[in-house]
Amino acid sequence: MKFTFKPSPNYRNELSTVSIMKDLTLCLLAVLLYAVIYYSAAYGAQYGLRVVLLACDAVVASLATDWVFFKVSKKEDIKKEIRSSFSWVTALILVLISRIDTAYYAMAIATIIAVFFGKLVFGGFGQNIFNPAAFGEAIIMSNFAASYNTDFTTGATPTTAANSLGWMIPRSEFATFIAKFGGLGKMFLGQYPSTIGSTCALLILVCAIYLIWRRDIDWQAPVFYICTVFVEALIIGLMHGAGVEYALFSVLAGGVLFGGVFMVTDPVTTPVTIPGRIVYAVGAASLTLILRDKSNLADGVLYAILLMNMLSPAIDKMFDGNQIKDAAKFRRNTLIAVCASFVAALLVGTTVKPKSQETPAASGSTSAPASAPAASASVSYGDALAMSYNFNANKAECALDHTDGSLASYACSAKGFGLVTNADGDYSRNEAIVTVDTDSLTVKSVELTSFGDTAGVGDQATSEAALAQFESKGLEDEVNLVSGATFTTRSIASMVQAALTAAQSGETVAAAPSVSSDVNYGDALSMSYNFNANKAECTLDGEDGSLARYACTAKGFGLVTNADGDYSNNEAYVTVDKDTLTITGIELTNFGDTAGVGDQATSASALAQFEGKGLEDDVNLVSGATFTTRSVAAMAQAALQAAGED
Amino acid sequence: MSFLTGPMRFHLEGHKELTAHKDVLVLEEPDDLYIPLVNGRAACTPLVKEGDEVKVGQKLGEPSDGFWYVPIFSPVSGTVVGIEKRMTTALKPADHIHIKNDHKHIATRAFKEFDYESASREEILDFVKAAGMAGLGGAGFPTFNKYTKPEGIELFIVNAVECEPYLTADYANSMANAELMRDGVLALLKLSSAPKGKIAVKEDKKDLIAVLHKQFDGTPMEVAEVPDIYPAGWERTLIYMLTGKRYDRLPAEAGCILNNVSTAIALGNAMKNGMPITTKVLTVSGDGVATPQNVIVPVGTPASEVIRQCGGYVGEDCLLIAGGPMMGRTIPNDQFVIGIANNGLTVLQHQEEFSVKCLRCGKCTETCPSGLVPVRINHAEKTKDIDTLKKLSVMDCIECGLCTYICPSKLDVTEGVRRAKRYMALVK
Repeated sequence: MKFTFKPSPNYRNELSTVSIMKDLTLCLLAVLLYAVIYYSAAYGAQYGLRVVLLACDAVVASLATDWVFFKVSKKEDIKKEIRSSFSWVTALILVLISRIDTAYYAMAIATIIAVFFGKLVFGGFGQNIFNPAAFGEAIIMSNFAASYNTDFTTGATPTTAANSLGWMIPRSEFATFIAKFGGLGKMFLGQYPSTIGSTCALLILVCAIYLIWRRDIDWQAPVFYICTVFVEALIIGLMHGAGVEYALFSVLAGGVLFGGVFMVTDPVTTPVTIPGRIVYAVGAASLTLILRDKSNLADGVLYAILLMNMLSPAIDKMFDGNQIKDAAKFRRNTLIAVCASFVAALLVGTTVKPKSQETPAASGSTSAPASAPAASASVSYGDALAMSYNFNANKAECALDHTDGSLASYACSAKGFGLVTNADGDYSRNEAIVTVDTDSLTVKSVELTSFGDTAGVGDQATSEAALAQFESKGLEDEVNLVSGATFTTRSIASMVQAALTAAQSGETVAAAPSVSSDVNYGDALSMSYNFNANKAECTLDGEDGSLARYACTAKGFGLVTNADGDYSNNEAYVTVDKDTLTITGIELTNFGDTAGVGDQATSASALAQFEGKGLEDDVNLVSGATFTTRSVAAMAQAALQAAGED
Repeated sequence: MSFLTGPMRFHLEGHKELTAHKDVLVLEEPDDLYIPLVNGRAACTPLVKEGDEVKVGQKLGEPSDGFWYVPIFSPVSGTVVGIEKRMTTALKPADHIHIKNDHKHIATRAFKEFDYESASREEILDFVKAAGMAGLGGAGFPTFNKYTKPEGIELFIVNAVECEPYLTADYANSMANAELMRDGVLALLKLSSAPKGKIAVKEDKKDLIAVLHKQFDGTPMEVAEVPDIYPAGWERTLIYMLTGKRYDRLPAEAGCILNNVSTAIALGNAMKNGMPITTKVLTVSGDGVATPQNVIVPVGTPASEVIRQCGGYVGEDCLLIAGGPMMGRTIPNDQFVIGIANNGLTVLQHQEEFSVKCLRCGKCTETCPSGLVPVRINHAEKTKDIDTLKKLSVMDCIECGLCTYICPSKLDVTEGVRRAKRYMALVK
């Protein structure tokens, strides 16, 4: 008989961390399963399959990371270490807070970073400062934004739509806004696109009740988090003429419910006392709204949680003591912290400006199919497609064809189904004339001139009715994907987008001579000026008799001065008469400076002043656009020099 | 308990059905008994020597300490073999009087019959002291000491809660000796000078509640039912549940005096039968013993003998616990003897726990009846952060074990807090 000595107590509750993680895994799988069903039903089986593959991808990556880490750190029982590391939970949460178009490699890398840098380097499970899944998703958002797979598109999510309106939807506009997502009821049931796991509010709430009932999580964190978001959104909404429905929308949209139930409750990265958790949840809720209102993130949940993670140790310190003897101190600290986060959120909330009032075009655009009910009869529409969508895969190009008053017609072409997917067959680019009203920057008409996709399939998207839905749409608006012809719809939409972008960047000015009189010229600029700062470069693009066309590029205002902002090189075709070494024409192909300022120097009349000029001549600086003038002149100089050397 | 704290308690699976409703077995007296010459902190001076004949109820030892005064009496008749060093349940060596049992049960009446109703408060106090009454809930604190300053006492509480899992000894004792309990309780009520009293019992013990009503209805003692939670029987939790009051050091600050129900029964027995505590009702339970049951054993019986008569051990590797599994100590052998403050032997089959790292879930914080933050204490103890440990009022821990019990990661949280307490005691 062996008597073992162990310090008391020698009695254990059944609830174990292993069982908590088992329940959590179960709930996450339920949410995942719902996502598979929803995406399969709404977009097709390949979407559902993608959810499954993303989940497998992440889980395998997490387990592999664990395995390598424990192998390298020479742990004896690697299986046991992996079993008590619970990295698959991190992987599942990461998948559920990601978008469906996340690239597989991005998901794998983010998981590896989340598990390794987010958890293992801190000492493994229980030691990490940041919620590892949130950490991983932040990696995807900040580093793999360009990797999103454009073959999988789901239309605008409520958060991006709300974000484009400044996260404030007045009561008068709410009905049309929410109609895009099928109403609050549909949002509650999860029939709308969002991050993979953040769709079905009902299911998430059922999971919450299950986890609380099983004592896997405590009720304080989710309840305080969700209720604070609701109450603060309600107050901020009332300040700006929004109602209760806006507060409900704020709770249902994005990651509030999923984050509130699965991430704000993560015990490892949250404080250990109940008042600490209340302060943490209220703080996270306030930060969520502040980030939604003021940052350029579509949704603030993720970063709110990451920021609060950093405060957890400080909050724990606030509540060090004896809960009975220091009850008064605990109450006071809780009250102060909760009030402070409320005041901060509400103060920031007062400064919110609803953008929808500034761009009335946006609000009227929500019911595209409805606006042409007669024509749409034969075409069935699927999900919404934002005109601001990233159509990189289509490689749309537009060239100004002709203008008529404020109307500018562009000859456009873009890859369609066959060329985007590299399908076997005889495919060519789709081509269309897109006419844009340059005053309102909306589409007047779309006329297909060449159809390069599958006849009988893609041409549903080129029917008159389908093309009519682009009419009066701008870059902020949405159209609807034509069911069964989504690639062709995107191809056409990409051309429309290119035309609108071209119209916006001022190319139409060429066709509006009256505008050129607005250009004021300043001092003379010698064509032999030293344009070193512009770093102009030219390459021969083509020759036609004595005419040589050079593709040139040069730094403009932003790059010369290193100004903050999204600047790029100006680019132009400069045609030089090699016999006389004078310029016969300049055609701007890319404008990289400040729209509305520098583009005075790229107007047709401003460019025309270069015609017939050689290296010994002078042009005039365009007032208010001197940097851009110099950038264009630098290209002209480089082209002349190149022509002289030939 | 408030909005910002957890429940500070937890319902435990009591496993009391293993023993509660079985007949109480009177154990065969062993041939050799070893009476510890120590009660609580004070050692006793032996009054007998090798070769002396002793009778049941004969005084064997007189405490040298006036404060910790609990004299020792012989549980059997026989011959004194000598004084031997043995290990006590406190895992310390102590002198034990070895008595060879002659199984003749020759008894001597230790005290004269005592009528508490006619006696003065002082007389009762003297009787309680002379009879060697001590807290039988486990602490063994001399009973008379609680009653020396009766000023300001408003409520006398009898603790029949028995919140420790597995243990049903108090319950069985109360059910079997209801009248002795009544006398003992009313004597202590008089001694406390409190105008009224409450006898606290768990609400699920319906039959005991009925017995208590029968005994105490019409007296100033009121039957108070408390929920089946742990640690309902800890005096701070019990007083808070009954009065809503918290106190700093002693129950008297909240106007209360508490005694265990078995102490009252022992006093009733001493008053009526003139006998000191010579036997104990002991719960023998757990999955490591063949026949779990309540037994009556003479004080000084080795644990091995008790287990043998209960069918022996089950399994090859067990935890032998003096008391219940929450606060009782595991003893690495079964040679220790049953003392007057023992009320149970719990034998559990030893199973290794699959423990993982702390996930900071805070469940220990929510259940701690002292309002501590055990997870933070454990962390501060590892880094020997004295300032934080002071702030965390480590010394308020009563080692009830709830934090280890509740820990989902299966860590020895209580042991970490104990280390912190020892460390704080050292640096002070």
